[in-house]
Amino acid sequence: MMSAPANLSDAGQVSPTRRRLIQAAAWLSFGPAALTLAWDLLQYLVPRRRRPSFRKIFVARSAELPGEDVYEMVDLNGRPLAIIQRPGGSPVAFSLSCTHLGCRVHWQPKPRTFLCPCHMGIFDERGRVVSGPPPSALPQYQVSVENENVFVHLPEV
Amino acid sequence: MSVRAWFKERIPVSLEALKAAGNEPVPGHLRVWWFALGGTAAMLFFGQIATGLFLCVYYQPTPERAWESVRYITGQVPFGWWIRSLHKWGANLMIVAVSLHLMRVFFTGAYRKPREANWIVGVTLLLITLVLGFTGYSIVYEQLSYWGATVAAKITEAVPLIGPGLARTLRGGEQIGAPTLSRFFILHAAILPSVLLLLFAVHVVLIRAHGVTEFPLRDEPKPPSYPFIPEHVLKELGTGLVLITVVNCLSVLLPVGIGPPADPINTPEHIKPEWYFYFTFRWLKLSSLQAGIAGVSVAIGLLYVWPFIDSAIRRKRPSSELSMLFGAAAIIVFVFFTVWEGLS
Amino acid sequence: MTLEVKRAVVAALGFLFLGSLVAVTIIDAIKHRETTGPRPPVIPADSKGCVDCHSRVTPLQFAQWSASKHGEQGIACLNCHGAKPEDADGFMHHEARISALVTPKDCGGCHQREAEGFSKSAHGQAKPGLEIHLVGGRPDPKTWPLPRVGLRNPDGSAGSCTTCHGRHRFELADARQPTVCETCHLEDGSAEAWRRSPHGGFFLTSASLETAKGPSCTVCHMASRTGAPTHDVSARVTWIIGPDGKPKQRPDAEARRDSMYSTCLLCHGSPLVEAAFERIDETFEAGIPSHPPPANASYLRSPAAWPHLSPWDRAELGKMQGR
Repeated sequence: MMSAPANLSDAGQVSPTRRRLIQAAAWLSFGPAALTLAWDLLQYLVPRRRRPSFRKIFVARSAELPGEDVYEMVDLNGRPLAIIQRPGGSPVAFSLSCTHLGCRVHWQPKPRTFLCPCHMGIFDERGRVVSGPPPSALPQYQVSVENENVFVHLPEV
Repeated sequence: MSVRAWFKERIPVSLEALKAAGNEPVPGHLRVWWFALGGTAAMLFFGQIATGLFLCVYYQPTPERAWESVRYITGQVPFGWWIRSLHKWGANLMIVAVSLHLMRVFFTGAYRKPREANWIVGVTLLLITLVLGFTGYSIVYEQLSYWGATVAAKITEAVPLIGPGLARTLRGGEQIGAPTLSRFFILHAAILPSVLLLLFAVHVVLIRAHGVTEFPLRDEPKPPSYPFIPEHVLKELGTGLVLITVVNCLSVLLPVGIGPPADPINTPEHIKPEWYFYFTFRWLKLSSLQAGIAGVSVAIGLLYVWPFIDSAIRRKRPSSELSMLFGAAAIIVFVFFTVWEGLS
Repeated sequence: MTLEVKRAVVAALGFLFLGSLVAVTIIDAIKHRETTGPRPPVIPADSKGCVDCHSRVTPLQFAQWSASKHGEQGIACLNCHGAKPEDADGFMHHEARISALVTPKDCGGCHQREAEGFSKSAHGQAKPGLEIHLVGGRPDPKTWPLPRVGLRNPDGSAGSCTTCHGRHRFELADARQPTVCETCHLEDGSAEAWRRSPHGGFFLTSASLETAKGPSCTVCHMASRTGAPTHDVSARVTWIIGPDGKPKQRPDAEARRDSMYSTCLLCHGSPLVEAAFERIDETFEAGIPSHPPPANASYLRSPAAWPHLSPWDRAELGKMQGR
């Protein structure tokens, strides 16, 4: 460890390019290392927003879904939802909680709309707001049809 | 006005002046790796503070939640297994570093006059480190934590006169439970680290005041000193990088797991403390608890007052190397008992 | 080491550190790779035909089986429902010979220990005259699907595993729920007595099966922490009602009592257990009380209730008998 007298900073004895190379190498390693460390620690501290997992629930055979009316059921948290068989299309499922203040909406077979009795909000058969105070469309649940069986994907409790 | 000038107006500290003031020549004999052991222990300790703080974000010190929160950290929290492994391996390496540092100081006679006070501070630092290890392991509250703490309290009870009271203070009651966990946690996370930091500051002040021991080996000329900045800084940086890379690798290759949760009803078949207590555990099993405790107390006492014993010996026989022999014997005994317990 | 070399070394160490950090990050990503929902079942070739049709026709049963351990391991329809040529309860169904009756003998093909224990117990005994008749290889609707415990199966075994274990999920947690036992044992008073006792009370206020603070039925009658769990639910039961309606001790009473005694010792100290058994034996030896029990405790008529009685119920019983 005691080869050259190293109590002088070797300023004049090393080519400037070599020194710059070494310095660049140092930054190239420390920079990413510091960033990776910061990123890992941030992930440790910030709780992961867990994507809710879904449970596939059997609803009915395709043929059993009502044409005019909707098939009402509740999700795993007890909240009401309805499944509509769209003529010429695949079934869709909507939450029946009005997006305004949470009242339960009712399906009107003739105009094929959902009506919220509390403040007269109206949603069409695709859940979009037609009129009234609701700020956004009715939330949808994923529906899949396999071998003429209708399944709805409900968020786990 | 340039940014640099803006800051300089508000923080009137000249970096150049600081650099010059801090650039003290480092004595040449400090170049050898075995003089870096104390600094290694200090670096590891600061690492423990950092990882410990991160663990505190999720750990909960109640009997109902402790084990579960540790399991949550190990299994669920992103990088939780890593932080916990860093902490566990950091602890193990810190104890190794502190012990090696003590051995270096001992075998270079750096405890001799006028450094006896610093030796006493150092031995205290060692004991605090060991208690930190014990409390840290106990608050995981798995089976071995609970029963290890139970056994430790039982041993404490056997101390003459103050034993039962001491054990009750340790446990916060008659049995290991919620009060025990609270006090172990605050000891581990706040009280002991603060005391350690304080004593560490005293330790460093005394070292700066006395200077690091020089000991001429044979007839070598005194090696030249070298500048603090940049050379010694680079050395420290390099050591730090090695340490954290080693702990990283250990965490990846040997991540820390978790045993079954504490069950006050069922005693596991084999209760063992952490490896650094193997030697005391084995020693205490040799004969009665009282004799064992007496032996441990004598050993700690000897450790503390060795500078004075050594000076008494050398007054009689100036060229005596009895200390070295004694030190070597102590290490052999320590290793023997540790391995014996480890294998049984 | 010159200064420049030192700098180069530190730079290199920086890369090593970066490498170890990257390793850590990769390992974490692997550890936390989120599983995307339940794993698809393993369908062996011979059961593929069954699955193609029955996933449409009986979607719930199929879904349950898919999510079960059997589904995970590829133990499919024909493993349980397949019938050999000599099986009386087999019939042809779309080119496969199957049986609708899955008996303890069938389950015992893999679950031998459990089936053996079960067949020794009262659950695995057939009541004389009660059996499942076959019509053209299929079960006669007059004799099936009744609760199958106590019924003789065409293959000689009796009872059924599915009465407690359900079908087709076969989750252990389901079988361990006391409600499963209560479907039959409510009448004999044991379930209600248990619910009113500290055993039942503590169990019912527990957050989950794993953290249960009290024992459920399976804990006392089946489980063992010493590694000898049993499906012979009668093995630990000493007293039985004789044909004359009076309680009497079964054969091998001592072995049965010892077995239950060691189970009680899992939680209780021996003085308490001994005293409890003394009281139980005393009560049984005195016979069923001739005075009618209070209206709200009609279950006290049944001897099966008595071992499960809480101290308060016992006091009531004592009061009734004028002691």
